[in-house]
Amino acid sequence: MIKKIQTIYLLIIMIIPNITQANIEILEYETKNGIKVLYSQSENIPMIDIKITFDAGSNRDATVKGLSMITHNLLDEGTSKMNSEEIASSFESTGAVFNTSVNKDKSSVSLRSLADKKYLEPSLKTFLNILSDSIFPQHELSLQKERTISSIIEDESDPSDISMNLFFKEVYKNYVYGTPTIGEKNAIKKISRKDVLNFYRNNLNHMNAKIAIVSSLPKKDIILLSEKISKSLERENIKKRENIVPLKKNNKKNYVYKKINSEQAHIYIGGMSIKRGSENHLPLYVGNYIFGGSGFSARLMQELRVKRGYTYGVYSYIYPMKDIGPFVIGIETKSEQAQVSIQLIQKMLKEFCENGPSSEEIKHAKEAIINGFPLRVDSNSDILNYLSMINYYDLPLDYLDKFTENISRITKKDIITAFQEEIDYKNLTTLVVGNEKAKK
Amino acid sequence: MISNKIIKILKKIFAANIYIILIFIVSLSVRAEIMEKTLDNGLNIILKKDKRAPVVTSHVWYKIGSADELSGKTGISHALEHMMFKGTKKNPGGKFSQIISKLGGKENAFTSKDYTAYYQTLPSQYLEYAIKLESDRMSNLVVKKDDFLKEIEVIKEERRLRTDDQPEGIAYEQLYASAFNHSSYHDPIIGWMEDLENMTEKDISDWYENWYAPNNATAVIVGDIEFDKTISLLEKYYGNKKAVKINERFIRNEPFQFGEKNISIKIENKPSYLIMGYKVPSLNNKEIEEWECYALSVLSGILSSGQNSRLQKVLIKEKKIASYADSGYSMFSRNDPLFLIDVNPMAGKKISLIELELEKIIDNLKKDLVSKKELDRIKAQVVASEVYQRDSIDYQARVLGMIKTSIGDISLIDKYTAKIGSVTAKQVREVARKYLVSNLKTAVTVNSDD
Repeated sequence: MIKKIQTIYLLIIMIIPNITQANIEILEYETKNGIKVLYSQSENIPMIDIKITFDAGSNRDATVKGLSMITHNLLDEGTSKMNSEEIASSFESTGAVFNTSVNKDKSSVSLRSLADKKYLEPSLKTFLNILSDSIFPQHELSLQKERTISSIIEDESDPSDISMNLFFKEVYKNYVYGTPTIGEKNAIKKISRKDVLNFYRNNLNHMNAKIAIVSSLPKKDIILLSEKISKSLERENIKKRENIVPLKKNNKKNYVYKKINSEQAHIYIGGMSIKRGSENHLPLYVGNYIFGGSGFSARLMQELRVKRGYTYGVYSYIYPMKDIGPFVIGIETKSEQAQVSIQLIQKMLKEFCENGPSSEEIKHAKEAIINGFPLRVDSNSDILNYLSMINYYDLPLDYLDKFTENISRITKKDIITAFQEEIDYKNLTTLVVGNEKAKK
Repeated sequence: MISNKIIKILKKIFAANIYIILIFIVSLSVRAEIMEKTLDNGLNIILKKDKRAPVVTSHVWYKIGSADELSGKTGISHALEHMMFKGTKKNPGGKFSQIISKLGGKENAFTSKDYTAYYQTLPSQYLEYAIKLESDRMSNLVVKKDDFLKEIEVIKEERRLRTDDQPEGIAYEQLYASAFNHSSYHDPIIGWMEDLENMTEKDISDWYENWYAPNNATAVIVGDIEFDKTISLLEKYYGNKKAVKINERFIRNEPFQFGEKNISIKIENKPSYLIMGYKVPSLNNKEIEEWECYALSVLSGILSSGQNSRLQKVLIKEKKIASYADSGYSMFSRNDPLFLIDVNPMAGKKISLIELELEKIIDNLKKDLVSKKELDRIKAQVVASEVYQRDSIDYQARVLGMIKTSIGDISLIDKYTAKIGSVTAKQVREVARKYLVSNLKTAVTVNSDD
């Protein structure tokens, strides 16, 4: 479970811009205690997907780095009515899937079940029980701490984890985004049951939650269900949370080399870029699509893989977050080629920021993005993810209806302006993790 | 339902830009909306309607994979898969990819031990483009030396990324190479580094000429389609291709194993790890009764599916010696595969301790019958995933392509759930007794007890 969660945290990004589909009907509902619910009916498959998103990612760890992850991993390990085994059995015997995930900005708790009441009711009951009454037994906490530490030790020897974690540390320093979601060994050792209970009470509650549901159930059932969920999230005596100090965008030119024993060098180049809701988001999205965000048609792939055979994969992405998210270029290549790859990428980025893409590239990118729209929302799980994103980041509901139109309006000038304002190519962090041949 | 960790390993190791479905339990949906047909030139066609979204996925699966390769020429099926993106006379260079991208589609390919497959997923009104382009590269690929020399470097980087720099990748490669001395599954899909060094563009074009033809392929199309219209498209673009003589695919079977094999790998500064495999039958094995495969699938579920499964419960919860444990078995392979178990020890815990506990778990399965509760759990999960899988057209196409290509008969889809459902506790015990034995076992450890 630990591994699953960890690997998700930054990989999905390239594919998902913050947009959704126009011909999907999004319905809105507010529960009695004020939780906003976005839901959509999909009658074709008799199943239900529920995803509750909390402002309770590792950004809310405060000084206890790793607390959010531990808390989420322990949610299904015991309530006052059920022990860990009974909880698992209640889900597994009906084919339901319970999941949690934590990233640097938020967390989520989700349930997938068959819609038939015979299956849904028992697993839903357990789900609600977990939301209202997890008790985090001490022995489960101790085990979870040990597993987490073990997992961190594994990451410390894995080239891609080492490099990604170090990159975020270099760019974000002491800000909450600078620490891996999984946390830090020393902090985890000190986590007490009280810490976890407090985190649960103060962060996973109706004040910080948004709900998304995609299901074949009728509207009235979905609304009833939302009320049940929201009720289960009510807590008493919630402690008011401290505000997270906002980031100052402060990119500086920075070269970091870390020696490890590996055949390939893992390289990251990047810095802070934009927040969710930034006006520059769509121009950056289209620009990045052309530069490094669209697989084989992107410039980076063409130059470094197709024309030169330097790498299996090279990419770039822009990931707007609640606060200022990163712009990242990543590549793995054999150590001897590390420096020549970096020089080439830097040259390409400079050229792109100064002159922007060609009109032909822009035309191609717009067509690809607009034509490909139906693919982004062709499954319940895709739709669920979009609903929860729109809900969590307070994006307008008609955002989707306007999406293709907004993309089609973007000009070369918009892209150049956005890149110059947000991607300061002269002041980026360059990180190289690899053996000595990779060093400058 | 698919073993996540194994998928993670496979992703690292296996070829191609993507993963292979290793199935512990695939649940297959009813065939009401499926149509099967073979063109005169031998091209197999499987169509499945799914009109939830205006989207379609179009696959072509070739019956050729790394298990067909000869010693000294390993990795060639996968290398050819890469070269298939280098263009034809009509559509030179990356034009294929460019067109698909412009239409809003995505495309990729994957190579396994048994097959090589290509796909495009795109808005359904553009299906014709995908069929047209894919049919063109079935017969008109241009393999240029210049392209090859660059692409083989890309493949070496892929190998470094997924195998050479990954202890778990190395262990996985070693497991197959050690478990199978002679069987076609001995060699890694991506190929040994030396073979990649020695490979030439001539090897690639020969392989292409030998194996890529309509009578060695299956087109699988799933999504928002009409059967008759899709058939006429396929006829239009594939119909005029001639069947060619395809060599018979030989299978090298593994001879008797004289005892347990244990491989101990040392890699500096890396955590310890254990992966083991028992030789077990696939559905293609004619010497065994079919139920054994279903019983092995259930057995894998008992071991690792869910938090109450035996590996999770014993190794992680009770003994606290593992941070991760999993098992995996796919009956849908052409040759006899391995039943896999892999474990990441908790930091500081000895591998020997884990081996000891695993032995107890396995002995238990041979001694006592599994409970009704455990069997019911597996069955409930199969029923549920039969519904859940309808949420992805690509997944549906992969299941169809894999079964057709590896086993040959997609009618087993109709019977799958019932067959899993009819597995008894006695049958589970019987396959444990028959297959989880030392002279079918190979274990690879990384940094075992220093």
